[in-house]
Amino acid sequence: MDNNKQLPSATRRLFLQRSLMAMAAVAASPLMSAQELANAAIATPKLNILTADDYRILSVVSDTIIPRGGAFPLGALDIDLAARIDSYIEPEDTALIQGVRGALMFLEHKAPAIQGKEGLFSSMAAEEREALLLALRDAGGDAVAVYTALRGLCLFYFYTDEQAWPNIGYDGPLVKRDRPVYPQVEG
Amino acid sequence: MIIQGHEIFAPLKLKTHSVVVGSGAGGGVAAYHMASAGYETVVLEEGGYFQAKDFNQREEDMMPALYRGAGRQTTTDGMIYVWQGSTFGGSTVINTADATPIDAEVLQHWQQTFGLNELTEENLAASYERVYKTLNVHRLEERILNRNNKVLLETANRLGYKAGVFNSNRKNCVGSGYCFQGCAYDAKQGTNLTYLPMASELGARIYTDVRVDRIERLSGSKYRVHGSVVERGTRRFRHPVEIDCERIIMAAGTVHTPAILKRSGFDKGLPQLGKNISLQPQIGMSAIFSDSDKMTSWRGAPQSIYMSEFDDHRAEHGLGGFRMEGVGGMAGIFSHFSNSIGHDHKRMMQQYPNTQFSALLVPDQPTGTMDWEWGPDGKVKPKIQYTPTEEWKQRFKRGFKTAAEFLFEAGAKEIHCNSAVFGPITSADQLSRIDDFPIEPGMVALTSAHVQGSCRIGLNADVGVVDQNLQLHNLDNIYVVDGSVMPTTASTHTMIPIMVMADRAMHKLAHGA
Ligand SMILES: Cc1cc2nc3c(=O)[nH]c(=O)nc-3n(C[C@H](O)[C@H](O)[C@H](O)COP(=O)(O)OP(=O)(O)OC[C@H]3O[C@@H](n4cnc5c(N)ncnc54)[C@H](O)[C@@H]3O)c2cc1C
Ligand code: SF4
Repeated sequence: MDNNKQLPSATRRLFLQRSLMAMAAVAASPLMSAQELANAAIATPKLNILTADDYRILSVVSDTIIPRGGAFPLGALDIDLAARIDSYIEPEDTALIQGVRGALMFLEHKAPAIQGKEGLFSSMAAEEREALLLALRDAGGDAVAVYTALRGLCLFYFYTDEQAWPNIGYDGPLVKRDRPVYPQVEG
Repeated sequence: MIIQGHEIFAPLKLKTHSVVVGSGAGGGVAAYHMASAGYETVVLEEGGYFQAKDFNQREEDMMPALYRGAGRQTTTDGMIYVWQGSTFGGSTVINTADATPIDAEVLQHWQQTFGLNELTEENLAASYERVYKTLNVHRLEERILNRNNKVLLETANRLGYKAGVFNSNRKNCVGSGYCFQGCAYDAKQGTNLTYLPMASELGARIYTDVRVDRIERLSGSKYRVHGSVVERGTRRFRHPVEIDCERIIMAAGTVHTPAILKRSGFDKGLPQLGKNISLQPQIGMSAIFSDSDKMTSWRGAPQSIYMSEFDDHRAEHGLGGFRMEGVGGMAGIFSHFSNSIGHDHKRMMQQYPNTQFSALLVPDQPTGTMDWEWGPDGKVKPKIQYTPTEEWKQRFKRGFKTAAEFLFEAGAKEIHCNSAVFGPITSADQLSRIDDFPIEPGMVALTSAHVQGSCRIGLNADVGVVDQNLQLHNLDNIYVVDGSVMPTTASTHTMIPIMVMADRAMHKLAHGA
């Protein structure tokens, strides 16, 4: 459980605290190159908070955590989970935004080395990606924060989406209402 | 009268007799007593005004609207979620309406350890009567109990363990199951439907979307409250607020009441301010039963039955031991309960209808501390420092083992918990794995819905922040009536204890007895 040796000490130092918010510490990791971005296969919808880069990586992460098929056909990509998450992040929540971004950058650029792999997380095969996330979980120590945070974010917004509910036998709210309205006022 | 922030278009300057800061369990009671005694009363609530028509029974919408920090407030190490309501009615809007009194052993503990001889069952009796009547406290009706909870009672009865059905402050509950997201049926009798409308009817003015930032001391034990009208949702500053008054009643909750006092410079001479925090941490557990055994955890009163065989409440330490309670109704949060991802996780979620959810509550001693920082926008950033003691960790593991054993006895096939690293327990002979359960930041997500103690009652300023009448030790005319005053955790659920303590002090202040 506490086998920190699997995680290079330089990587461990990137995590000053363990909560999602605290992952802002790794937000300064190198961004994708333009070439990598150009290679991205996923079309980017209109986003509020996430960059196209964040969105693309988060989509791959979400597909790893909730893939298509298996117990039920629906997967994260079917509901565009990354866009749904983006729509729920408030611009004021800078700690969360930096945390998510830091976790994504760490996973994309630094985590593959933990398993001795070269290249990016998002270019790995599905089984390799799952194995890498599970390796982060089992590495113990601070690496778990990335696993816990991204897993929590994806699961929460997937299973609160009505498209997921028939698959898990949940018949949903008894009242059908939109999000509560926050009164608009002058700036 | 209820005035919402968006109805205020200019700086607000008022004069009144009493200002109540916060509108939750303590604030609601205080507002009512002040207004009923004829004092001109203003209530200031940072959160927004939401009503039954706004509650859409969805976690992702209601947590940002009703919870402090959208439900993401944690201890500084991120290990324990500290849940608090932040809305008109405070945490009483999002709680599960379990009504429990302060345990007799807790009062004895407070008398023996802290010398609080005025807080006796006898002296609190009239307050219980008033609070119970106002909130319609009664035993939960059989018709709204679900199998998710009843399985605890049935199993306890079979094993000869103590267990029971909660008393509750509901009226005409339809058993929708969405208490954590606010009651869309006006059945849960929080302060939003009881004390606050009663106070308003008696002339109190209740402002929502108004944050109190600090208090200035004027001459003659009078005060000026400085605050901000904030935008709903973002809580961005909109207009300044200044209210001159003779009396201030703090009820902003355990985390924010001491923050306001500190920012006002009132912490000088109060060495206990922000100390002695208890969180009463709990862990969520899920137990998968056979396909045919439908728990339908999301319908019915969510937290209606407890198994209390292992409570160990004593005058020496107050609450002790551990207990199980049924919980239910949140697919988003409960999807975290396991360590898996991918197809394994999907297989587990497919069993949601036959999964039973419970909480293991492990009372603690008051060992945490708090500090705060303020952003340039005036928003407070709490730093809740809390490390469970070794004794607590051992008791937690004992509790976890007992709870898992109990759930297997009930018929569970597989048990998970809110730890992203601890794998499922699939038979009773794996219980020894719990000896190595990682109670460490990042490894487990515990929850506290009962943060208490940052302004505890004590006989003098060396040992407490307020006296037995809940007045600050170092200043006249400032009272604290929320969860922060509890010297140790008051009960397994804290709403009624807070209201009863607030009622006693405020009734005495308002009516002289
Ligand atoms: C999810 C959940 C479930 C619970 N379930 C139960 C249960 O079933 N039974 C039970 O007995 N207890 C339960 N509790 C606990 C109980 O509801 C709380 O202990 C109790 O409501 C706390 O009362 P309070 O007066 O201390 O603060 P709160 O009720 O939390 O109210 C404090 C209010 O002050 C406001 N405030 C904060 N700062 C400022 C400021 N600067 N200016 C103006 N306003 C401010 C906040 O927005 C908030 O509305 C639950 C709590 C939670 C969070
Ligand atoms: S279970 Fe009852 S009190 Fe809770 S939200 Fe539903 S109707 Fe309201």
